[in-house]
Amino acid sequence: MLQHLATGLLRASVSGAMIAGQVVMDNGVLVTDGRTRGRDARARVRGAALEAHRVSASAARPGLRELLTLAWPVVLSRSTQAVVGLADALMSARLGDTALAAVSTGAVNLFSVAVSADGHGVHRPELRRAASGPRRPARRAPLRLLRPGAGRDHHAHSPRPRRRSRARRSACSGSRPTCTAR
Amino acid sequence: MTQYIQWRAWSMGPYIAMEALGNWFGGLGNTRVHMRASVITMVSNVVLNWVLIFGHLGAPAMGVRGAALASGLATVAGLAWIAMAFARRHRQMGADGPLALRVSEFLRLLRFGVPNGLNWFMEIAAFTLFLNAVVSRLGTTVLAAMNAILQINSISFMPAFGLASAGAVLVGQAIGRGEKDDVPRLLGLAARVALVWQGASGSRTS
Repeated sequence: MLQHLATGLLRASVSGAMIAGQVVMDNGVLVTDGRTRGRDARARVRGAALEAHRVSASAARPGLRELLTLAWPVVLSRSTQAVVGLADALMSARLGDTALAAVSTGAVNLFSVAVSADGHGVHRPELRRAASGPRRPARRAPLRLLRPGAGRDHHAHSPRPRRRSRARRSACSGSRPTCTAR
Repeated sequence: MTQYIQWRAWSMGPYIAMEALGNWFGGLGNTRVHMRASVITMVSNVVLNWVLIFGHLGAPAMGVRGAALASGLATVAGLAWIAMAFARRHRQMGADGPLALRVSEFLRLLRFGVPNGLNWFMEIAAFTLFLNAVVSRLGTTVLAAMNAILQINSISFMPAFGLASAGAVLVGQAIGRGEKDDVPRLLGLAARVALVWQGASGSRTS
């Protein structure tokens, strides 16, 4: 039992460090927003902690529940990818060891290629805008295809939605793509 | 293996497109759309495997090629679903019109994407190299068993990756709200939950 616990804790420390590193890297990408990198990026991440005085603590800040609400679909999504590989392997196994090895190794090799072009670099820089709302005119949004809007998805996880003045709301009513009074 | 890769390689494009659209929804705080597309892919893959590997429903028995083709077609099915969801969402946002590609934004995308992609590639490639260069010399059976075990084992750390992605979404939204002070707390929260999960799964399986 103690041995199991010790092994588990050892694995946990490695995995925890890995995940923390991943989140830190993501933060670096997010904070830089294409303007700084390397040392500047790290300085910005550190600087984020020093800005605590600027924003008061809010009871509506996302916590464990929000984290798990966002995480479980990702977990399920990633797990289905593993199941796809597993299904290929299990169903090919009836054709023999050679077929099983070909399918499983081929899938792993292809995955290593696919992951290099994966979307990890796609959505993260856009998160800031997704959360901060439609500050920019629609036509200036990146790729337009990647433009986050002021829809349900954004407000569902934005505990403090920005309020516009009545004049600005009326100016931006409807779906005018070029409205800049935001 | 070459046969499998030849018949599967074309589906990397749809796979990447599906990931990109899934991440777009993820950036908006909606991770369920990508999940549904992945479930469609998984179910389609199992059904198409049955049809194409063994030759049911009048289809030819294609063996390994059938497995590759089934996975590719299943990916296309998932992509079709998420593309429709994207088109619907795009219309809801009042952004009708062509999805023009802007070179400057595309270059910016590459500036972020290439280092991230290379990071993941190097991590996975190191392991793939180990499989191809070392484990494959131990025999076909060992290689097949190793890969099957890896697929099963990956389920144990998938939650940690899910937590990392969810943490990244929350961090991005916090920064977007101008609450940068919240970033270390969210980072710690994601790391702690991942630590607990991996500790539990590690002690359970060891």
